Amino acid sequence: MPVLSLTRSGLYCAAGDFYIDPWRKVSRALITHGHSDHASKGHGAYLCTEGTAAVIAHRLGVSAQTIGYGQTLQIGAARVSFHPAGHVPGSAQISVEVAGEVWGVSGDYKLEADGVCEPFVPVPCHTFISECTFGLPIFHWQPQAVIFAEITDWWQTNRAAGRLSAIAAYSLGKAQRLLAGLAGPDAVGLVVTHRSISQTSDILRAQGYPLPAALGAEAFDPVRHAGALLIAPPAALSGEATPFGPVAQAAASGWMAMARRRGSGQGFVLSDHADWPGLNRAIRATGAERVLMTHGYAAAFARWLRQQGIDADVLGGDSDHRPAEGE
Amino acid sequence: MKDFARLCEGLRAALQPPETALAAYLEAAPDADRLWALALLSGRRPKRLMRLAELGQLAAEVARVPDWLLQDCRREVGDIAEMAALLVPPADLQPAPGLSHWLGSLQDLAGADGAGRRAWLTLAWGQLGQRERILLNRLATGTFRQSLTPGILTRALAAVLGRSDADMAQKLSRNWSPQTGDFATSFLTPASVRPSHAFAPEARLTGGPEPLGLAGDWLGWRHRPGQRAQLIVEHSGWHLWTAAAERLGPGLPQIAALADRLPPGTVLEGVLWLPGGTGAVTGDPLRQLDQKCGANGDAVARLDFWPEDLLEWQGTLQSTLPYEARRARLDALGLTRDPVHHFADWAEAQAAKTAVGADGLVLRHRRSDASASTRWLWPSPPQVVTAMLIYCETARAGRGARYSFALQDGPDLVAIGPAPADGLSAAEQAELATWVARHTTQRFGPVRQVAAELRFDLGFDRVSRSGRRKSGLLLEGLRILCWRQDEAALISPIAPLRALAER
Repeated sequence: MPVLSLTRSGLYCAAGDFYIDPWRKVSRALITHGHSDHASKGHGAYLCTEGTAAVIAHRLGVSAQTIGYGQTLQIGAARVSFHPAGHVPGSAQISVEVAGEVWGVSGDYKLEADGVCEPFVPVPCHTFISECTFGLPIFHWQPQAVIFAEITDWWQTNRAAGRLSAIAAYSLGKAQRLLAGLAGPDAVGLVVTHRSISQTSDILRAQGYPLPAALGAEAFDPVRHAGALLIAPPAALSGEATPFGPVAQAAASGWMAMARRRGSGQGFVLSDHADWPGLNRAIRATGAERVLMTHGYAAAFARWLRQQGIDADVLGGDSDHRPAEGE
Repeated sequence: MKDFARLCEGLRAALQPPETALAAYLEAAPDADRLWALALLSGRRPKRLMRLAELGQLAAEVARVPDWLLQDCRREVGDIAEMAALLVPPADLQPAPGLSHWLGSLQDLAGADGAGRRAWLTLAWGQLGQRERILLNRLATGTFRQSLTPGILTRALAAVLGRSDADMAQKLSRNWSPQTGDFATSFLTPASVRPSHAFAPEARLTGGPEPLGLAGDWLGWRHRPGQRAQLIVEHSGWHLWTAAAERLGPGLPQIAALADRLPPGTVLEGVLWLPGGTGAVTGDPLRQLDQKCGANGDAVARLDFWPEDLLEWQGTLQSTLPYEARRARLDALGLTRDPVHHFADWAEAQAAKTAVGADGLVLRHRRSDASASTRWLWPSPPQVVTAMLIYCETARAGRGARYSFALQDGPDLVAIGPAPADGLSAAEQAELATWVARHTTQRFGPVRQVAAELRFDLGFDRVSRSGRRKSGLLLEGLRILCWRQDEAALISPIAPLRALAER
């Protein structure tokens, strides 16, 4: 009996009778982080970190039992612990131990410390279930300081031309990372955040995450605040026109590495997932004997690992077709 | 290199007019880079260093990626030059040398063997960012295909150097290359070819001609659809300037025959057109001609120049004489083709216009000088069809949205081409833009396919056959006349237009 197995409802631990990031209603759910492809409504009980609990209370209206990073909790015959994944504030990898055998579930993760979320730590395990959203060797991230310098340049150009700069970014994680990197005392100008982002930021500030202040989009005045930088979720910027006057739009995402995904727009390659070298490094650091890949280029990555002498496969064959959020 | 890569990306994204983007680049670039940038964008490209597939393999070697994974990456990125740039781990960026350095090295490698070329490219990747790598990969594999029209190059260069368009157009059209000359000798030498006189402003009468005053003050003749141009004949030879500041030189037999009949020191203004051709030579005649030559081969042989004004004669300026006198001289010399009409009143003018059919009349005041007073076009009423909106190309910098329409062809709709939205009020344009955003069924880059629901009345001046178009027809001067809000309006059939084009 494996410690974890993929079922119709999600990743299941029989020894503890719980699921990790389930997508159908279950009695007990362990949640890695608050993005909608990982955290869903309607489960009987929730267990997650404090950061994630605050986010899902707001997003899903559910209350969760919380657990600190590194703490251990016995659930049935399983011992579980949560460890920083560096993906978004409060995000965790989950370690499950049953009778001395340890399985690690990465959730979504990135290796670079972004200054907002708890930095990734490798968790030793026998079997590692890793995401591989960006699991092709064409994905190499630059340090975020380089990307922030690019964004700042772009913003300054738009400011000089009297245009508003608008960046599309997910309201949990990417938006706060941009806020922390672009707002504050040394900022080029005023940073404005869309309502959904302001709300999430406030919740995270209350949890003690150090986020600089930003103006709420409700109070934004296109004349008085000319040349500001607006951070908004992609859906809020997808229309032809925004109510903010002339706007230069950009998106910040790992997918912006490819011209095909950028289209004719401006894109900044800033991802909250691990790149190709990051995935390879993280997987080796776990010391795992067996690796199961999920999300993205799972089949190619598993084949690559097998060629490197690591026992690797796609988690649950190829039945994992959930849409991903957060990139 | 960085700036030029940015320019190329900016040109593709079309966030600003191309001449503005190019001028901004040229303003900041050193002369050697300017020269190469102009060369690349005018189609003067370096020899290929290696095949694209070989470059992909090299990147895989550098990145230590097995062949099957390379194929996965290639499928994902879709473009080998870009994939190779992404595959090689990013470099620690130091200030890299400019465009001319890289292209100079590319030239120098012509004699190197395969291993030498691969070693050079690997080294280059180590010094360049992603965007610059993609550019270098395209240049090295002969897959760099961006170019700008001569008109855009001319205007940008003229603006940056503070020279006349005519001068720059002439220099750009000469045989220059970064291999054989530097920027200063190619572009900064004094002007050597005579520029054109200023062209008289042109305007279209939208209502009747009455606001022009007395009919007796005006001369009229049949409008010929074509590009306005000036023919300059000197001792050293002849050349043509189009109103778009493009220079056309020798090799046009019809025009050469006309120039041979003229004494040196003569400047004529007239219309450049292809009699019996598939439509007017407008906008960018050389380009169109090239395309047309591909289609029917004899466009160069048939391109003709029909004079309508005499600006200089045997070295003496004529352009300040009244038009009437200039025209009389031109007629006396036997250089005009269409007869000039005199009108007792506007009714007579109307009759003359009806007699020339679809083309309409050109009107010039009897006493007008050559360059300041307006050359009026009095168009015939357009032919009208009711068409269905099927595509919209969204507005971009320097150009409004364009809408494409279709007519009924049996049970199907067949596209007849795009029309600018000028005929709609600002409110209608805004309403239409919102409608398009909500009814897009598919996107092809900037072009959206929309639900076939909205009907418009379109006007056009002429219809001719065109093998290059889906409908087989070219509708010249296609424009939106009005938005038919009545949903029952029938879409016009295309068959009568086909019949018209056959005539």
